[in-house]
Amino acid sequence: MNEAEIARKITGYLDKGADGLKSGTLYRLQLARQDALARLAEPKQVAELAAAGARGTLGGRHVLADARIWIGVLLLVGGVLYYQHWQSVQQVREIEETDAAILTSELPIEAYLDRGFQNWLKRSEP
Amino acid sequence: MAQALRALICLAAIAAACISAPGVAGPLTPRAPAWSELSAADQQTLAPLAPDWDQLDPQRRQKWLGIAKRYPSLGPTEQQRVQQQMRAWAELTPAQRQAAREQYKTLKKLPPEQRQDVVQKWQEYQQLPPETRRELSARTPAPPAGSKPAQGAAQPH
Repeated sequence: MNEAEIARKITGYLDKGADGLKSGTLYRLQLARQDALARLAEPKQVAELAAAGARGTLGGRHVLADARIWIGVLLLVGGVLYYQHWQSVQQVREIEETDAAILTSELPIEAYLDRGFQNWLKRSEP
Repeated sequence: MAQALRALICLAAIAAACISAPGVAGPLTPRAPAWSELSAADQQTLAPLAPDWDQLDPQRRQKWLGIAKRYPSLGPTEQQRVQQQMRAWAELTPAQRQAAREQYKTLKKLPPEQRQDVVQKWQEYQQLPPETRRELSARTPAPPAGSKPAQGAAQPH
């Protein structure tokens, strides 16, 4: 069986499958196609943006004057700062919990630091 | 064009510096109050730390304030323990505090019946002859089961 025959068979199956599609499915496929075609125009916009970046302008306006860029940068930096702050708060809270537990425990602090006691505990483990 | 690019690069550099700087949490960290700014209740609870309070870094002050907040909910015996141990704990080096935390976490992982015995074992251990304890201390400890070795620098809290 050569390639042309295989292709004919496949297209036959596909056509048969497509004939059996419900109208709702066909409509959705049509919308998806239109959407995909609309996106084909986008690389042009990207190229325009790149060119604008090289010129420092966009649609006649200076890139840095575009508030959206500033808002984006601010949001990014703000988000990262907030995440780091949250992490630091979590770290302090975890240390606080452990320290509070050590300070209130029946064992004195030196027991947690005594290497001999640690070795002795390990040795006497069943 | 070059100006715009330079400005954008500067902006990115400032953002990167903000993000990577170790003290970045500084401006966002809740302000650590001076000793004179503490409430009377906090001053009473944290009295053993009074001489050094203003030298503590902000994170350590926040931690102690958190402990002071828990203090009223503790029983009288636990409150007494906190009072007795607070100063000694604050005087440890950051590495010692980190080592004690690691050991606390290791002991916490023990089965409950073994955990209860630890206090008694500490008393028994103290009854051992000093030379036996010295010998035990001199041994290199095997890494405790189920615990990871401390990584990186100790947290200065």
